[in-house]
Amino acid sequence: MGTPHTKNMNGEVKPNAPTWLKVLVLLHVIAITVWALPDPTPDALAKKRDPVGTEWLLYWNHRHLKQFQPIRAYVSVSGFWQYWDMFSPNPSQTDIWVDAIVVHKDGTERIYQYPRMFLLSIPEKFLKERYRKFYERVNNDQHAFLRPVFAQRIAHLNDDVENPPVTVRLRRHWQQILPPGKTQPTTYNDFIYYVHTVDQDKLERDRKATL
Amino acid sequence: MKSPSEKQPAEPEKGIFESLDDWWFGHGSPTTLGVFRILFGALVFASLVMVFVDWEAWFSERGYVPAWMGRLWLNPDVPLWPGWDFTVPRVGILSGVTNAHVAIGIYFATILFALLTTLGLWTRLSTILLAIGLVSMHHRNAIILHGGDTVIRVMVLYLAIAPCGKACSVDRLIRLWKGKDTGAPLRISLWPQRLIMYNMALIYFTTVWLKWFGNLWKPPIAGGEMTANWFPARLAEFYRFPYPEFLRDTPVVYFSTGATLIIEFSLATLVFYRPFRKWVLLAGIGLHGFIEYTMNIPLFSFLMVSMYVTFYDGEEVSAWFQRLGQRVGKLRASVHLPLGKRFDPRGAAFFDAVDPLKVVNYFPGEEERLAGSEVRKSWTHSMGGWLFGWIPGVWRNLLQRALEPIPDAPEAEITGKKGKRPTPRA
Repeated sequence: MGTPHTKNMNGEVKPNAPTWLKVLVLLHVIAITVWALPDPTPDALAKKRDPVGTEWLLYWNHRHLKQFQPIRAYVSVSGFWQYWDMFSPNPSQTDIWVDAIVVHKDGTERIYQYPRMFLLSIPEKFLKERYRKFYERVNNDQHAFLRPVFAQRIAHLNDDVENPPVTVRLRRHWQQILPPGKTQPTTYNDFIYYVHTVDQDKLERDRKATL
Repeated sequence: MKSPSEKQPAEPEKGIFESLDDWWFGHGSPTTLGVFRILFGALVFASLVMVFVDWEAWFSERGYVPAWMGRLWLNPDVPLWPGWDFTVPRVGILSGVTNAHVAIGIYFATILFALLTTLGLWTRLSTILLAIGLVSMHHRNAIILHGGDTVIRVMVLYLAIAPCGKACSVDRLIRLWKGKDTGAPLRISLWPQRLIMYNMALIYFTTVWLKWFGNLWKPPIAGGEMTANWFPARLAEFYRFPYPEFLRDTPVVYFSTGATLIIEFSLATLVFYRPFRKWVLLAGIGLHGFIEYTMNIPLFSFLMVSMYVTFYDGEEVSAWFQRLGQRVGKLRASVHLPLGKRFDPRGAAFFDAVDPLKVVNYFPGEEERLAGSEVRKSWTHSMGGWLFGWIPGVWRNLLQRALEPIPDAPEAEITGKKGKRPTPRA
């Protein structure tokens, strides 16, 4: 514990920190707490049902405090924005990875394996985990706007000046994890969920770029 | 006869606000923040270096996230007040930068500031520039960020506002060497350390709260299944090392799921209660150790555990290092100074500061010059000496410049038996 207020030679109590600093620290604590508090469940947010128990507090926080623009501005601008939802409210129950079928100008097809953690060595897994995180977001239908750029990058990675890629088909592979006591599936389902026509101008620009 | 408590008036009982005020803003040793800066700075450095492997993929215009996409994901301008047109830009010197050479220059500068932060060299400036660089990278491409990155960003911001270079830093050694600081213990206001503690507790608290809305975490008595830990262990994309089969048994899954919630909740609450602190933190180390071993979530466990040190006061951390030095006999070393020489006050303070384990004792020697073996011993056994002891000539030079003649030293004492009279420490 820190030393409390100190006394000067006359025995007067000296504040341990200026008042303005205490106010700033308090406001900061309030702001990060408001921002980090979990959002209520989507059903409660959409008013399909009433919040339950402590969810009322989170609902109220979400509706009023989190929308308070100065708090939004403070945490967003400064970089103090934070939200902690690792394995929550439930951990993922689906194992997902992706590859792409790259179709070239002459009609040949190649399978491009986007970095899949399971297939990588331990050091590679350590270095390339961001690929999994990134794909987790690309795969989310809410973020479908990421897919054209994702596919275009795959086209660039499979570029061949003589025989450039013309189409990239993103193929999702998934396997549902079943609860304990049930027979676990051993194979993955797959589905082509996005077909991208390669932007040849962009491909050309990327070819010329040094980085 | 009066008891001691009757002789002096008892301290008045503190109210809750006064106690809280003392806890948040009281003064104490900066050692904890110094140690945290080293641990965290090294992890930030490692994290940044890891990004380099795929820098082109994440930060170039032909990568997965060109600049415009980064801006689309995270609006770079935020309105300050409802209804106002006036917006404030996010911290982001990389925002909209499409020139790869500029971007990579900023990236390398950020790595450099992470290194300087770890060393504690020009600490205030280094931590501020590290925070600006790192937050800018996160605001440039937030799509690839995971929990560990958020921990890094938030904690780096705290380091930037904390006097974390006051201890365990090259800055401190320079100040001691120049005589600007004495060896006397420094005191700082502890509010930055308290913010780190609070934010760590907030991480655990909010994650437990959110988990409570998931049916897989709650016990059956609360309407849940309590099998959450079953699932991540089966996600092939997270798989790292094998572990015993019995850990997959259903009763063990129930236990580990419940234990995870209890430990995380304790890390947000009971950790502030001193009698429980050590045990809660040890449980947290166990939890994160298991996660680190079994699951591929790079650096996250290390980052979380590195924050645990902030739950100890600087005096406790210093005492822990000294106890460690006493316990490990192999670390102890006796170094003999040249005949008739001792440390001057700034030298004594300097060589005391580079030896946090307090395992190197300096004695008057019998030789005219410093022996090579004595020079080597003095830096290899001093943790702070590892920074520059390996550079040829530097450590010897420092030792020689830190010495002064012992005034009017009786011949017998100077040339007496080795190890009889230690040179005074600071």
